[in-house]
Amino acid sequence: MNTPQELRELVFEVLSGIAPEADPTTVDPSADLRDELDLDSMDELNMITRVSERLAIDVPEEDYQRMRTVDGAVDYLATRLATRRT
Amino acid sequence: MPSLGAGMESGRLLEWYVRPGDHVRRGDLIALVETDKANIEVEVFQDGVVEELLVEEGEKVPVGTVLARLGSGVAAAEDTAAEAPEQVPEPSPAEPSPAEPASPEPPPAEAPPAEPASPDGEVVDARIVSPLVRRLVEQSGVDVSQLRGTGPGGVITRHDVEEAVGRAATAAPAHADGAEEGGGEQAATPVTPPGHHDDAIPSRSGRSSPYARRLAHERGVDPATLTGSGPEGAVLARDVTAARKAPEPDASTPELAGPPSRPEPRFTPAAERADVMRRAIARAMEQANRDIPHYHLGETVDVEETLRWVSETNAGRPPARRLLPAVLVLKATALALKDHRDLNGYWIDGTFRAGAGIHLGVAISLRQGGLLAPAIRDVDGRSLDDLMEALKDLVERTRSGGLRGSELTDPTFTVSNLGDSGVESIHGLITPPQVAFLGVGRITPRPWAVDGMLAVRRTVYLGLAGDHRASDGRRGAHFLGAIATRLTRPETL
Repeated sequence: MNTPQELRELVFEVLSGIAPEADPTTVDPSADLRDELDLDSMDELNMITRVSERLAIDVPEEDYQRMRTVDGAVDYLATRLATRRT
Repeated sequence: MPSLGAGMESGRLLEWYVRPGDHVRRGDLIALVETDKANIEVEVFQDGVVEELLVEEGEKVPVGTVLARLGSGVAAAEDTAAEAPEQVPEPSPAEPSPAEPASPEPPPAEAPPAEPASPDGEVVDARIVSPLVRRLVEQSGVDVSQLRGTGPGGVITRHDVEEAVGRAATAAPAHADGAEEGGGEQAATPVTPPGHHDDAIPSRSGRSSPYARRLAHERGVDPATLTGSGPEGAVLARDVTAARKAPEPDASTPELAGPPSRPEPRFTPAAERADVMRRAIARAMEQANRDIPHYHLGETVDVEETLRWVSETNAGRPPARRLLPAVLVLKATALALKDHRDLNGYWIDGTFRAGAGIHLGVAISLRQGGLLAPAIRDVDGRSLDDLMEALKDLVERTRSGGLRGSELTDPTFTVSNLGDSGVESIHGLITPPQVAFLGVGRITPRPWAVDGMLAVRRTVYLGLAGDHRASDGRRGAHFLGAIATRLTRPETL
């Protein structure tokens, strides 16, 4: 679970659990998810909780802002996973 | 048919969870009702034995209609005719019931208290709030004291019982409450193409509610493959919903293994539902604007220290245990209400009636449009961690259609965290018959004077709407100040 494509799929999967009526794959990957999917802070926390549990990594609060777009989340998670393995 | 919120005129009884002869305890869930806003599980107001169900499943009836008759149980066993059965207390249709808070009867304060013994060998445990679960426990003969409740507040769910009985891993679909753990096992449920069934298809036990059949039909689930959780094993909508995770032939999106998914709206199609919801909100807000002389006050509060405290608290915790600032606002508001009881309660028939506890309605937006503001009860006495769990659970259930009637009628005060959507301030309308409303704006860094120096501090705007019949602006101002003071001392919350 560490190629960008796999991470992207994971993010989509988690998002479809949080906003089931939206099709995450139609989301502009560079747009703010809170606007695109109408996420509130509880949704955001749930998303981060689920992603971090699935990947067994911590996402500190100060990094939440890096998870606000699909592209940003994929980049951030890839970086976190890479640093964990070194 | 209880009034489940301002503006509710009627409700459709989708499903009975009980049948004549069932023992029910105050707080037990007895029926699923569709209102204009959501499908709500309705609780019974008192202990007793169900003698007669007076409204059929699928029937839409006005608020105030008697749904069922309850008897004492003794009478039912000995001489039903001799004793006039008590009716389930309902608001009289003659009253202007949409304005009623809840119902004339106070909703159950909490899970029914545990009792040392029961007269007829009935299983008694304060953690069992559903007749379905009680029946399951009785039938399976499992030792209640050995059960671990995984439901909200430690309530024992059907899943808990099944797990204890050791057959959770079989084909039995998990109750919605247990879907989190059981979700992966439901793939065994076969999928039948829509159109295959008439509506008379029975479950394994041969029974299913009309609503459950329609739902099963819509979803292409074969009720005959389901284990029903209703009376005599009848398949209920919840069983169909629990089974809906069966893989669809053309499933393009893999189901998430871990977290629970939200059941879809269950009866009225989403588009129509949004329309109906809009009308329900319209009625309540028309009433609010017509009947309540509002006053509005606002104060900007420096929450820099508060947010630092939250960050420090969260830094040592995994995401699942982190706090949201909204929880601190709820607690601060509840503590301030303790000293401002005249803002916590209802205006009914020309007088103020204080709320029995501090039950904060939390405005939660629904994804299909509209919103609900169900209550977190007794907020003043709960820890921040406890409140955070309660809020998560409430948001989840509000959006998945798992609210109970009392949660919608309990609020004694409402808080909206619309600032989450980016607005700086909110000048809201009070939800009748409540007498006050707090709108919490966006957290915004502002230039701020601190000890005579200019600094940049994170701030939040608190906007209070008060009912001028129940309180005056001066009182409201004092209340806002009290919230601000509490909020800036997070360690005391």
